[in-house]
Amino acid sequence: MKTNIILLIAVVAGLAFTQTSCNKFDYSEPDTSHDVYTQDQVATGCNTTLAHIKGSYKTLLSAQNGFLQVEDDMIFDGYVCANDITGNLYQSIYVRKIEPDDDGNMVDNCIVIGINDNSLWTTYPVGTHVKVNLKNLYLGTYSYVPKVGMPYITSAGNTRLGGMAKFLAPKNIEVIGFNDKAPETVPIDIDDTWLSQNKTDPTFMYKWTPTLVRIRNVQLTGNYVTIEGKGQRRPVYAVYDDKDAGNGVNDSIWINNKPFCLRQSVLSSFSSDTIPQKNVDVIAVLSRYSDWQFSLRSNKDRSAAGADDGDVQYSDGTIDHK
Amino acid sequence: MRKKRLLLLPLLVAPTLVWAQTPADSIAMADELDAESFVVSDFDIDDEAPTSQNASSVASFNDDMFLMKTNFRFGHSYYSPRHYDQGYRSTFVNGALINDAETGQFRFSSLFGGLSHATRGQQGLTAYEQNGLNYTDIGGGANLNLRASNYGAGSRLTLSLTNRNYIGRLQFTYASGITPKGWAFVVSAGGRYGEEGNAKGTYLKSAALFLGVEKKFNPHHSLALSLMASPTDQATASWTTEEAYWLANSHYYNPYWGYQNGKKRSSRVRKTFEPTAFLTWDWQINDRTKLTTTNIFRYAQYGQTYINRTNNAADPRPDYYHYMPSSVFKVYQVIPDEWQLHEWQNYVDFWRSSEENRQINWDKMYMINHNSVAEGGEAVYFLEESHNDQLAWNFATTFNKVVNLHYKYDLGLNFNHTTGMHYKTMNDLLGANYHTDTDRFAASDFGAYSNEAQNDLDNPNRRIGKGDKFGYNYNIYVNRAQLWTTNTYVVDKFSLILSANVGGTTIQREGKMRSGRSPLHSKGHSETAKFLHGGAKYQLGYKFDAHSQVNFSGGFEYRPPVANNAFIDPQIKNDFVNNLTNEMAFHLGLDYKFSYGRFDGMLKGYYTQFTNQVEQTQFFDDIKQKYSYLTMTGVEKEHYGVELALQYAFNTQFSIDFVGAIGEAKYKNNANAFITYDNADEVQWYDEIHGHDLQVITKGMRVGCTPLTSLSLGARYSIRGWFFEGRLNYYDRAYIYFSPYLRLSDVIPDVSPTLNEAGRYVYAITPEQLKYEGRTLLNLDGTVNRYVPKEQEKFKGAFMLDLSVGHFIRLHGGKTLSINLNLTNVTNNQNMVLRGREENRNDNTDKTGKTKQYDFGRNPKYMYAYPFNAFLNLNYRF
Repeated sequence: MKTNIILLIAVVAGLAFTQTSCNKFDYSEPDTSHDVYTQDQVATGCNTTLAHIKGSYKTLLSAQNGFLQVEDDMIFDGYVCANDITGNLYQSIYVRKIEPDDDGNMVDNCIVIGINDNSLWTTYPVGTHVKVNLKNLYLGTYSYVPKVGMPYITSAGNTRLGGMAKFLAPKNIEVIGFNDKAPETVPIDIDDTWLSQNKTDPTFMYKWTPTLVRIRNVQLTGNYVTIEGKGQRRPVYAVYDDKDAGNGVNDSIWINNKPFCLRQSVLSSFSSDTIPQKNVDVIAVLSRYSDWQFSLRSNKDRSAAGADDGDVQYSDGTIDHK
Repeated sequence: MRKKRLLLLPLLVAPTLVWAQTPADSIAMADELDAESFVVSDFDIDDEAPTSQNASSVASFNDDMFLMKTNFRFGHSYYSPRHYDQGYRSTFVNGALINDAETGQFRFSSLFGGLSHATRGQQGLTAYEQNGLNYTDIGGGANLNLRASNYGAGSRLTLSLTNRNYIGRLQFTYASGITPKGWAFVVSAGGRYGEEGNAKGTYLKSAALFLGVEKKFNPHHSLALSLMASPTDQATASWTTEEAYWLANSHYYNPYWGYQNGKKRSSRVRKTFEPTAFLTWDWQINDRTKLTTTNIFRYAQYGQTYINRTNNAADPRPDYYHYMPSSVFKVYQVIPDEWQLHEWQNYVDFWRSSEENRQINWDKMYMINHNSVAEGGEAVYFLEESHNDQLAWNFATTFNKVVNLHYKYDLGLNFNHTTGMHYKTMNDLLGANYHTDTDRFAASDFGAYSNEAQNDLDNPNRRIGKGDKFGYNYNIYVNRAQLWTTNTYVVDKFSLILSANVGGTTIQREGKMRSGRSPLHSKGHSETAKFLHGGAKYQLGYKFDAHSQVNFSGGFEYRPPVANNAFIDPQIKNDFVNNLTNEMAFHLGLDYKFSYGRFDGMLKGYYTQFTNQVEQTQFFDDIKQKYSYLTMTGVEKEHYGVELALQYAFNTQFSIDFVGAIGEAKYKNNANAFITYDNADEVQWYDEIHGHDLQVITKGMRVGCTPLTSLSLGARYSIRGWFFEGRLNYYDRAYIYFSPYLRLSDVIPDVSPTLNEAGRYVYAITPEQLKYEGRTLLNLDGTVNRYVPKEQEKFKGAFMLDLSVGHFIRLHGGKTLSINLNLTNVTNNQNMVLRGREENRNDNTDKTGKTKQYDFGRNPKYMYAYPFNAFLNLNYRF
């Protein structure tokens, strides 16, 4: 009996061990203060500029669609001015740089970096200073918008320039700093005159595609949805059933009573929010499809008309710090 | 007087002798082998299977050679007797049914895992024979006798070592036997531990405790109380695609884990804890009459962790289809362009360049959450735990009466009340501070802060912290009562067993949250569904002589639907499936058994038809972009086949045997279907394209993941306490779990014909397309000629060689030591697919037929049989 008791105690102690050893499976939180998911150093320093790239590849980058593979190190830097924080700009970051061109004039350029990943906004928040090496990536356009990424086949069977595989981003992009007050984070202030006067000028459109803009006192319109069980209808940013093959819908942004396209993803976090009925000021990414096209980074990119809440940069490059 | 009593004695004892079950010693050596060394539950790496290990795999079928042999042999192939669902097998403890009332099934390992000492005295039960315990379902079952007096006096210590999903097991049992004062005590404790199982990233930690006490008050009354629990934490492994296995260069690749701070962490941890009490009163009224009453009180806690995320977050699963090389272009159909090949190679290189690249990236999820917090945001990724808890009371009372030499009967009453508690909790916020309790799919459709997005309208936008309940929370109540009887008549060479039962079942849901997707039908009590059910069965036997016997059997059973198929969207809504009715099983059987000296055998044939079954599957509908429930009703299936067991003993030391089961288990009709969506009240029940009720084209599909052909040839040699055994098993005709979604009549792509010169229809499709995608063949006028669904994949047949060696040593003072070594898959066959399932995902991206590059139809998920593994058992009795 004594032996039995000893054995029983031993077995129970063993049991206790297996259970208390649970502690070794309590995982400590990793230190993520360092940027473990971007390249420590993409290569050496920058060997080109965004301005130089847009100048050198003007034919390629002004086509509607097209791409080429970059075989050598081609490294430039810029600041993130827009990202996928709501999913409306899908799997993309917009890298912008205001810098002198070859002639010493200040120029403002922006390019889309496509990455087949989500939550890019957490790695590349607005104001992130990045260095990008285009080696082994593809440079080209998607619907006139200059872009870096990899080709893909659309659902319609066409080959287009999409995002790079998510595992290539850490190889080709290095985060080198952060400054959310950088001039590149400040939208340029435009109006209907700016848009109308220049939309027939390919050079002008090329120069400003894409970029971050602010438009004042505009009206947004979208389709209506019926609130189930209530019989009420309300206009929303994107009605899911209206989506096209790109999971988007085209709303309208009325600038001085002239309609322009407001491109909206049905998968964005605010797609079903009610569109404001009053005029508003909006910050948006300006790009092109057949004409100018606007996309909101988030529904926070709007405020009541006249209620300025941020710095504005004018198209001549001057910044009005509010 | 004394003389008179002695004369009466044979009369009293005779019926007992006639009716006594024959305690054949046919598995005595198997007992020494330690039956659990054959148990699949210790072998099981899978966590997503709809069926699980059953109790009878270690049960003893004294009078059924086929069941006795297949128990041990076919366990590791997921062989299911007659290919029935687990819900058609009854598991009893002290005569009371312990099957889960919500699913109908019983998970042996959740309750009895690690308690093989305590549960080794299982009695196998066939479907038709009178067992004196309870009414057995058509799949047969097993009974565990957990009374303390059932355990022989003495102690037993067992140490097991293996390389399966744990590495070590220790068990100790002490049983007092019946003391002179009528008490019996038993205590059994054990533990299993494996820091890493056969598949990487898995582990098992389990403790087990069993306590039993019994008091025999007098020759007529005894009361037995048993308590048991086996808390278990297990990190499980996943099924994945052949492409992922190829990239990982292993058929045992497990994408569920990843490194966190350099330490392996699993995303799928299953926690089970089922403290259970059994209270049994035995009343031996007289030598011919007995009443047994058992109560079971069970509180089952089952949790399973999953990674979840907000809308704008990349899928963290490393084998998510977007991350596969075959998502770059249609690798099965086109010759790639240069860029396609380049990109495909990029993916391949990424997968192969580092193990971390093909595992979950915990550190990155933390970083994203940390960055979100820094921006004032919430958790982008979080680890949730879904719970399926249960509080159950099972009651059974059984009256046995031996009337005379020719007639005996059992009469019983069963009752069950079960409260199933289903909810999820926040297990880990992965470095963030909170999660807002909204539904991400509804948020896309209706807005992030819309009413529809709210999981709990009464607490909108509630911030969820660690341990909080969120998402869904509901109870399912099941009450079941059953009255049954079994009667056996024996006249000369004939025997007749007649059984019948009648019962009632109620099912009700109680929502604990008012969901924004269904505010009027989600909170509070649903209506109560009531079912009157029952059935009858018979077995007519004829004994040709002392050596052979034939039995004819048959019956029918009206069964209530199981509760977890009864609601169209149980996580949210109180609404029942339309036209929910009893299902019906009709069954026939014929068996012949013989024993001529050294040659024994058994041949069986069976036919079973199921009608009115309900099956439900849930998935994310790519086209609708909605979480969906697909319910099939009116399902008809038939199971039939032959089973054979033969044994020839050359002498007392050497014998050979053969056991085989060749059957069929397939759907007989095209099931009616309807689809409901988590975030809409919409119900789709009509096929708008073809103008008829929505159907799943199931006719001809096979029941999945059980080999329809299982054969085994064995040889056994024993001498002076040693035994050697070899078994060559062959499995074939196992089919994949088919996707009902891919076989919906409005999902199978249409193809129109042209007329050839002979006036026959010609369809412009390739055999490949027909095989992998299926087609709806139309007539010229656009009506449906016939549906040809995607072909159901059949796995390749495979052999598996198992060897066992053991030695039994008698020590001084009646102590014994047995050593057993069981080697499984000795030839190390690593290419044997045991199970697989198609995904409920469409290759089409929208209703216009534009296709994705990734081909789901050619990328089902598989699980392979374990490679060579060993189980060493040291068993010391003292």
